[in-house]
Amino acid sequence: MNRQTTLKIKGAALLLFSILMLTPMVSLGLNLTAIERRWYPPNGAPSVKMWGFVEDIGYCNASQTPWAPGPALTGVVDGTLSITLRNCLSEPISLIVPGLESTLTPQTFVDSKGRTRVRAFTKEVPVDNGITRVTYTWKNLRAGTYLYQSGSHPAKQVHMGLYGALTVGRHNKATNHTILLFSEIDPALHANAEAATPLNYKPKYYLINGQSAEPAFSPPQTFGGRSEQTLHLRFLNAGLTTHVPTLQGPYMQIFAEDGNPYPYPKEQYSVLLPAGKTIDALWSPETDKLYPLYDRRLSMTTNGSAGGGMVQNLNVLKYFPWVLFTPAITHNLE
Amino acid sequence: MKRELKTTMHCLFSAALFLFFLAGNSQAGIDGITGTTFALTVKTGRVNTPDGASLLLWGYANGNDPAQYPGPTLIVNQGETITITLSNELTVTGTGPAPNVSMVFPGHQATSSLSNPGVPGILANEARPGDSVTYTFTATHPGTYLYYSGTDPALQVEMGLLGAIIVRPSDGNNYAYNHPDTQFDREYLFLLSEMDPRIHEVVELDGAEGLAATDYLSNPFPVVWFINGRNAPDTLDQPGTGSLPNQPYNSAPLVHPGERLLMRVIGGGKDLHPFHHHGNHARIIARDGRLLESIPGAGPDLSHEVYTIQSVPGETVDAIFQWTGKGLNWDIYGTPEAGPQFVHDCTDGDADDYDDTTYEYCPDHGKKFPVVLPDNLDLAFGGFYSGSPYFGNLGSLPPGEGGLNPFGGYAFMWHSHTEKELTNFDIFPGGLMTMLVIVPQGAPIP
Repeated sequence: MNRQTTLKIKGAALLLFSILMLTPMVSLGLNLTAIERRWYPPNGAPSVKMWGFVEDIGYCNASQTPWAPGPALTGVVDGTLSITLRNCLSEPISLIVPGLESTLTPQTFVDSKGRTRVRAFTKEVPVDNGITRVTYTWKNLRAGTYLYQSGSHPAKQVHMGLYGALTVGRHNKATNHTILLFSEIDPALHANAEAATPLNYKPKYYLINGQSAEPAFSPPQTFGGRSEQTLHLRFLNAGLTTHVPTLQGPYMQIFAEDGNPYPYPKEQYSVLLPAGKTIDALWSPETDKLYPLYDRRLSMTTNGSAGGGMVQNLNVLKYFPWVLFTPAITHNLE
Repeated sequence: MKRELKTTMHCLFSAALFLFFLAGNSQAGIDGITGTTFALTVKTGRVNTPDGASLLLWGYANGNDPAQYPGPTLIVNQGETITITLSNELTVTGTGPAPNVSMVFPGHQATSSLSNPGVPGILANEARPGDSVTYTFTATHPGTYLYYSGTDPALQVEMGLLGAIIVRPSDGNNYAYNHPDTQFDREYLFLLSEMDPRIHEVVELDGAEGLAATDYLSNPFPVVWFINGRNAPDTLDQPGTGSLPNQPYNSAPLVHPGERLLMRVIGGGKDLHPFHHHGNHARIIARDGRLLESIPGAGPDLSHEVYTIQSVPGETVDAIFQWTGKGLNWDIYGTPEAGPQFVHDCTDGDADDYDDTTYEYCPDHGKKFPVVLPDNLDLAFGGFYSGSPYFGNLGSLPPGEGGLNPFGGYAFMWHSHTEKELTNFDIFPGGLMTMLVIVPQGAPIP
């Protein structure tokens, strides 16, 4: 891909986004694989079977890298994004991005009573050991933060771990951005994933960017930008319950929701983040230090015990080695 | 307006509300402690709920006072540097040690002092058992805030470690923020929270380590819901009542027609509690202690009206509520057909549609009460019914009926719109609920 960029500011009546544009109009092509992985709780409890999106390496690979949310994907404002998906799982899967424009072709099946019912929002990748690949395309990408996730039996497959963050553009006042992806795990639904139902959903683990803090230990650190600069915070909730990310430090300027800019930003120290929601905010820390970020619904528990869970420290450093703190989700541009 | 208010005095005052109206000034507005230096202590107490339960409390106390739920409301002034020394006198059962405790102050940039720094924790420095920690912050911005434990908050907030902070603006004590549009006549606090008694029982019997064998912390199932640390009907009892030694604050809002009532609504627990205020819409002017304004100094130009305040855990909302009876389409002060005592004028000298003194809505003046009331023999009565549909009027009631409404006011239920939360452990009514009473001009409000 041509990485040469020119900076072009795009203004629009109410849009607070200004946009890094690649010229000419670009089309990004990415390759993902959906595959079984395991997630390792912080307290030594048994690992949990997960389904995850990983970068495609051309075949179904049996390596045991731990599960994490899918790689962070970057789209280009007004551009086109194509993702080609390989399926290494035991049931058909698909890929959707709520909030972005795509041509959907819902898939149906006939149930035991002869009724035709919808199974997937769009075309699926069949179960064939990863031989068949299907390409999904989104056009006219809008600036914002989005979840990409399975569109097949999403009540189960998304909870199994088939989700990740897609970012398009960046606020022009921000010099960096950080993705903060909230989700939960109920291990009871994962042991026999094919038969799982979220009816009795009772999560035991609470994650930010795929990590649960460990009780009695310092929370994981996340890239928090640089002091005296502005950071674009991207909150996403891939879980099934509401969370309230609360940032202990200067107020945030919340400026967009589900990729839609507000007419005026909201000045708050916390964010109401229901399931499936994305929120964009600006944040300008003044000093170099660790700023705790936690869920004020107090999902700060680990397998029933107090402590751990949804808490991380945003690490703000004015000078090097700030680049050494890698965001929990790696960047993936083909 | 010529109507005589003395009709309102004709009643037999029954005990509860009579005392409520006439007791000392400790009931005024928002109870709390003022100053710039506070000494708080964490200790145990009991939370009494109307279903008869008594739950173990870990509460903040004002110095040597009893632990309380919620903790003392700290009322401070904008610009002041606030110093809080927190002492840990918590005792626990079970094999584990008493935990560290702490305070966080969302919206404020708090630090622990160099002279008494406590020990580092995840969200804040902490006080070890028998020890203390001192925090300082500058109250840079006026508004409504909260504090709570930053130590294992999933457990310690549940156990009761939370409280409110009010920062008075430099414009004056009857302003919420530094803008004329935030002026108010009365203010009330609505600190909303919930408890899961299972957690309190395990902690009381086995200590906090007993929770590891349960999923109570990761999947709490609250069954009692609170305003200012009390469940209905205790919300309406007097503040500081001896039957609730660790729950000193009540929630009994009173207002005259036309007055601006500032609602300070705080989400103190883990759950959202949509706070539904009957009577009229309220205008939300601020969230998290910041005016809803387009640019600094604009005033609450982004304010908007709601009838259910979305109360989010850890967030605060300020809203202005007013009630005049506008829109009822009948004269709440009565018409001559109902009797000579109801003859009155509606004088609107300033052309705002309201009587200049009583805030009667003049377009409805003289409009008859729209229904014929059934005979008393065909009615069931509630304690808030004055015996008359007319505002400020008292009618005859069968012996033993009424009595909670000595001034002939109108009562409106203010409650969680998650109606499940109108219960005390499955007993209706109760829970996160109180009554706003609109009382006539001249009726005393503490």
